[in-house]
Amino acid sequence: MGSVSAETVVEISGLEKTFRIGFWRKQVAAVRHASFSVQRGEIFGLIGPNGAGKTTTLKMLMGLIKPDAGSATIFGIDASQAASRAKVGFLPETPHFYDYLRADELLTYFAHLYGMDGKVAERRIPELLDRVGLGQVGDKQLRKFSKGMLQRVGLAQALLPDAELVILDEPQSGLDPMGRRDVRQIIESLRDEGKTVLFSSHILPDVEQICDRVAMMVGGTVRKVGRLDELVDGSLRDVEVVVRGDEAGLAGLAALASRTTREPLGTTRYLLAPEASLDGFLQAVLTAGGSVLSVAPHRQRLEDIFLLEAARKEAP
Amino acid sequence: MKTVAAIALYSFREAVRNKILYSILFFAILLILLSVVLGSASVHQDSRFLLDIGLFSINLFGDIIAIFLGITSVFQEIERKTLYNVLSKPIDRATYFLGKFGGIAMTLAVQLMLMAAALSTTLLFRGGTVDLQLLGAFWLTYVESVMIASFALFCGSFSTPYVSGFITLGIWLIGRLVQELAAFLTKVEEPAARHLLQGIVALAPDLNLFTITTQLTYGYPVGMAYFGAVTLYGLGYIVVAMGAAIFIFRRRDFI
Repeated sequence: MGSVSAETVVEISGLEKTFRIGFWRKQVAAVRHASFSVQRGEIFGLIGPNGAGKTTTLKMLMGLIKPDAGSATIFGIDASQAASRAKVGFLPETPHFYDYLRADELLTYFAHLYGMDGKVAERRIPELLDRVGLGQVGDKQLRKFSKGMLQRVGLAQALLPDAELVILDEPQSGLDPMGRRDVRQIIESLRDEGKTVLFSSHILPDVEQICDRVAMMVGGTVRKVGRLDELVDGSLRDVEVVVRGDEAGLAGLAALASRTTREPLGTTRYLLAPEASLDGFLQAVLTAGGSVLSVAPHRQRLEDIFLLEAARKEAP
Repeated sequence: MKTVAAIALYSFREAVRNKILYSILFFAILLILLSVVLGSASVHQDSRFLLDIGLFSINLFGDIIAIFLGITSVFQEIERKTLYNVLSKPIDRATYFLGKFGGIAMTLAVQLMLMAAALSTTLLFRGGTVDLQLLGAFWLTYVESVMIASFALFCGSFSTPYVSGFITLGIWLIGRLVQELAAFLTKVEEPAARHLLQGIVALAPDLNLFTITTQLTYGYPVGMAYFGAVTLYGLGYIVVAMGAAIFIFRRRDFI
């Protein structure tokens, strides 16, 4: 983990947004009194199911959507001010670009928008294209790029200003496993360079692997904010035991397990509750003439907390 | 200012790739060339006829291009979501909007120059002259089309292309008929209708001021002061339309 200072980079306080949709202007609350802060140098994950309000929150932070109430600041500057984005790189969800431009032309255009020096941009653009794995295709028109390649272009433009804060909305969306790994590595390298990263994601194992802190949004509200080790205590959730043996002989074991799944290759998978006796269960397997193929303890993970919160309708 | 110029340049690059613009341009030039054939039927009148039809074509097609660019350029960026990548940079929305306007103004300049070149060349071949008066006529046509584009941009800042196209077309029609509407005022007896018509006549731009075809055709000289005054008149409308458009655009949500 990189060093995290106490300086607040992003501050979101009581943010609210309601959209009016359709002919009857039906009100839909997208974000309800959301509050959290991101400290300098940390990787902060914004997680939640579809429609949780993550993208709306990030768009309010980038000044694309005006909040109905509350405040959002970046480096202490109100997010509605263009100056707040001077040191910020942003990757929108499923980015769209001018498809008639080449990747290097697009980055040159965005360098102009950041007010970058021409010589600095000229040096930095090929470096960035290399960094996101597009060094060989920088001179190709974007219309010839796959979805994954466009996502990489999106990453490159987010890193263009050598930003102190990088905000990524679903950066792994549309990427294959290698692409996901590359994005993970880029985010980690940003932390090593002392940058702050705020990103939203559905891919919880990645969030678990690289985030210092997370905010969990459900139904427009922030349900939980905290360090991963505070949210996920790592306690034993259950123990999985895979057994091979005669189905009739093993029939009595089901009563000892919380769940039993018969598998096609003649194996049976048992889930034991944390309080169940593992020794007793293994003894019972051997007594029934079965053989134990594997024993795997399952500890509580971010996904468990996520599913629990997503299933709960309202905040306590 | 450099940012506005960058946005304008890339908007121009995007606009000139649009095939619809080339179709409109093709029809404009075709009409200019056709006027040669039609004009040759009238004895000693072909240059006059050519000038009349040519300026009319440039004016009409210039305004069509202006409406098309005005209603589509920002809307397309919203629809294609390319706008998110631009507005998330440290630029003010006014900067972006002025850049888009600059891009449209550049595109219109190129399109009008092509049409003007087609007319001037044809005129010269038919024994006509290309003088400062004609260049002035081209300039006023350009100012008019930029003004029409600013109206379209204003409408596009709060509505869809169809609605904003319809409204801009309405403004264009009223602008063409404003003198007739002013004359009609005396005949309206109903006070509410008269007030409404008075308001429309007072607010609407008089597009006839930008057309000096009659003067050119019959050889009446138009002074530089007139060109200057009409240019300022057009600029006034452009500033108001752009100011209102930016005011609305700054308050929009990009979901």
